[in-house]
Amino acid sequence: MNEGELLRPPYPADLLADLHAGALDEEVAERLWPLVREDSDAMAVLDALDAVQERLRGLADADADAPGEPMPAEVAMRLDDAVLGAVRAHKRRRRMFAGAVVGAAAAVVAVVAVVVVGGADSSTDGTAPVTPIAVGPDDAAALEPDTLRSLVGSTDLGPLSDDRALADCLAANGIDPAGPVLGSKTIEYGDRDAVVLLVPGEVPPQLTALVVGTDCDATHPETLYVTSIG
Amino acid sequence: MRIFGGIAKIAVSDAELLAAHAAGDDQAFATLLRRHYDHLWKVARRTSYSPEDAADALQEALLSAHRTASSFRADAAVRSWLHTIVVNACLDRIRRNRARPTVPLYLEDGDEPRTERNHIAEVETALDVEAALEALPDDQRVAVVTVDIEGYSIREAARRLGVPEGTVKSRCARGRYKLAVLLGDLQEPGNRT
Repeated sequence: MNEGELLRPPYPADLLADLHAGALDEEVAERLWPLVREDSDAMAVLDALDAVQERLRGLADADADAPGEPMPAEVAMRLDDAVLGAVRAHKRRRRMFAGAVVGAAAAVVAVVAVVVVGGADSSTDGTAPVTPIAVGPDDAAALEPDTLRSLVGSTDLGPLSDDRALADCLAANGIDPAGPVLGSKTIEYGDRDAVVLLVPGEVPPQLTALVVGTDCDATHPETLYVTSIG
Repeated sequence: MRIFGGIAKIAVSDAELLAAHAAGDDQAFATLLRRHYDHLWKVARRTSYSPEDAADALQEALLSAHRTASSFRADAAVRSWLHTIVVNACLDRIRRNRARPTVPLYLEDGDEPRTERNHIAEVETALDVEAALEALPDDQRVAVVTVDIEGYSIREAARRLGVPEGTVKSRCARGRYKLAVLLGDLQEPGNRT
């Protein structure tokens, strides 16, 4: 299309749809918008596209009630089998290795204590930790209750700065994404880049501090450490 | 242990089923998921290119949900949690399929399937939005579903789908325009004066 065609109505519908979706080159869009606003036919197309988006958003709201095509029985059976299989396999593994895990966890605590605390291995007495910690933070003090509490009000979300990324990560960790994040800080946890998230605990004024890997998303909770404060 | 398996029809909350699952009830998690099967199927179908992909993505999503169920707190909505996991699994699957060189699942942008015009012609203009969505080419439908229904930013949708942001925008543009035609808000392409 040459410039003369572009600047004169009638404007092609696909051009208007691209303009509406922000798909046009910025410079072209800037020149086109004032012209399009003067053209009632073009504005009718844009209004119709707005209306479509509105209806689509309405679909999201209606999702809970709107009946759809039911899941085919063969798909449901396949999912039942897969899920039940996973549940039972998980249980079997847990039973078989329960003893070994307790021993291994104790060993990990010993190693972590040596690395993090710097030789203070007297802190391990052979019992398993309440919270499973695979590796410790580089700075053990970062997870002290007082340090965590001091994070309230500070925001340093790193890769979780995107609202949706944060909401997905919280949801994957079983935390209501609609609730507040009271504080956050990027840290290094072992050899991982991680983020500490401070959220309200189950009983106020308790707080829950959650350390997640920076790749945390809806399907990968990346939980590295969870603790309650207060 | 089997706490709820035999009495699944009695009103039990999602949170109680999760607790039963955590307590070792073999059936509780499957019962919980089954409650949401139809909803999740609908979500997976509209966010996938084929029923087979939808079923595969759903299976991946539910197994992933099982792996993370122990960290899921009862005060978060189970349905929203599952919904998000399923959408992401579908988008991830589309991205992975794109990376497979031997199986071209759909035509390049700009080359719409040949049957599409006939398909649109067969669809009455008074269709509801869901039915109209089904009439869109897969890449446009998934873009519109991801951005307009699921509310992902263009950037996040592009990242998930493994395509440039401009591609997501133009797929949305074409998809929305076709929906407006299908829903009777605009005239068909070529009929404008």
